[in-house]
Amino acid sequence: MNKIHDAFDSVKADTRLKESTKQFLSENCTPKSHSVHQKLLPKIAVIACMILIFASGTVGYRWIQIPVSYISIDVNPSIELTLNRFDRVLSATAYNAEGQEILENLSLNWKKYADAVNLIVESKNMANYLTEESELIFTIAADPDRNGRLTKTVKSISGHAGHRCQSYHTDTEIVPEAHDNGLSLGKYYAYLQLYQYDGSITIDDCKDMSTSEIHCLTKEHEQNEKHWRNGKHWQNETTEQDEENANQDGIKTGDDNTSTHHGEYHHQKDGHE
Amino acid sequence: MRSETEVNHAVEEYADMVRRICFYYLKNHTDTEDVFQNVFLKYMLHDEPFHDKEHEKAWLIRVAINACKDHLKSFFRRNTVTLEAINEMTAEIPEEHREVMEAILSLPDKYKDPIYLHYYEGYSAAEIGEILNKKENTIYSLLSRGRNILKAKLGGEGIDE
Repeated sequence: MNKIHDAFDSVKADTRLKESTKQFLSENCTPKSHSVHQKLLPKIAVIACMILIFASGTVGYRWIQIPVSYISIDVNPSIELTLNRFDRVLSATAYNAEGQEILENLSLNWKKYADAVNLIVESKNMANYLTEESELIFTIAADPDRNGRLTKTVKSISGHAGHRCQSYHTDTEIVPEAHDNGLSLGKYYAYLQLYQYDGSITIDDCKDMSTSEIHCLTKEHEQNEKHWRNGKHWQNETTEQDEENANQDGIKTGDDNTSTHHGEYHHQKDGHE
Repeated sequence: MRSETEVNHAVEEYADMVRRICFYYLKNHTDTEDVFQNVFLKYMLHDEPFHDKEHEKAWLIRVAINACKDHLKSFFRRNTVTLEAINEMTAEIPEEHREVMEAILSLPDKYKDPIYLHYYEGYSAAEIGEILNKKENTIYSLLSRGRNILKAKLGGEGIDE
């Protein structure tokens, strides 16, 4: 026999040690159901934490994915940027083939809006459309707080680039209407402006025109309206004089015609808005 | 958690083995009893099923060795072992085996596990390597050096390869 084996074999756990151990374990043995709870508790806590992290992550991600403002850039290419509450680009959408051509070479998502606008305005493809005659139209739809800031930045970008530009701002409510009609915010806003003066203009007509052209037509109407009002004012003054003369002569005249025309004009405007 | 019956059965079956491991690591009865009880407490709280008896035995060996090492890590315990305590431990060994046991106890700790697992439990170097998480070659060399120390103290007779 091996001496080492025999030496180890002489070491045994005596009955007292075994019994005291059994006693000790019996005292430490808690009811099974309680132990199950104790065992599950950390797992439940970990799962709850994971759900919380996942949920807050999802909610947070959705929160920053909510569109808050829109910048429409229209020359002939028609492009619209959708921004989140941190003024980052959520999406860039082209509303005509020319716009599509420009966006094809640009990656704008999650860029700061100023950088995105700059990239669009300075892009190689855009240079073909920014001629001396063309006008860069920015239309911004945002809440009043953002509107001022966005307009200022956009103007300074186009100013630095040395392009003729016009900027308009409106509220975000018209954005879904614009998209439903297949137009960028900028073009739809221009259409609405023109429609105030010319009820016969249709969205399809506008699709074939550049935003700048639509705004030009609106301006022409505004000028005509101004002239017409001035003319009417002058006429009214004349009429008042005539009236005085007529009163003196015992003849009565009125300006019903004028008020009816203004009434129609306001009806069109209100009905449209 | 394992049932009381299951734990009591394990105490009966593995008590001697755990006691031997405690014996060559620890130097007094109080420490031995503490560690011995802790090993079976861990067994009671260990829920994972064992593949077979061998798996269960190897698990208990590993837990017992680690429990002894953890116990010895305490500064006070490591430094308060007296000669009397050692004598107290070997007193229970029959006279004819006392010299061998004293030689085993005087081995550096690193040799004790391979010597016990090989000469008493009959494990191969590969199996010991798996239990102690060491390379097989390391176990071979530990066994060889440990055996040489014992042979030098006790003479070669009665100590097989």
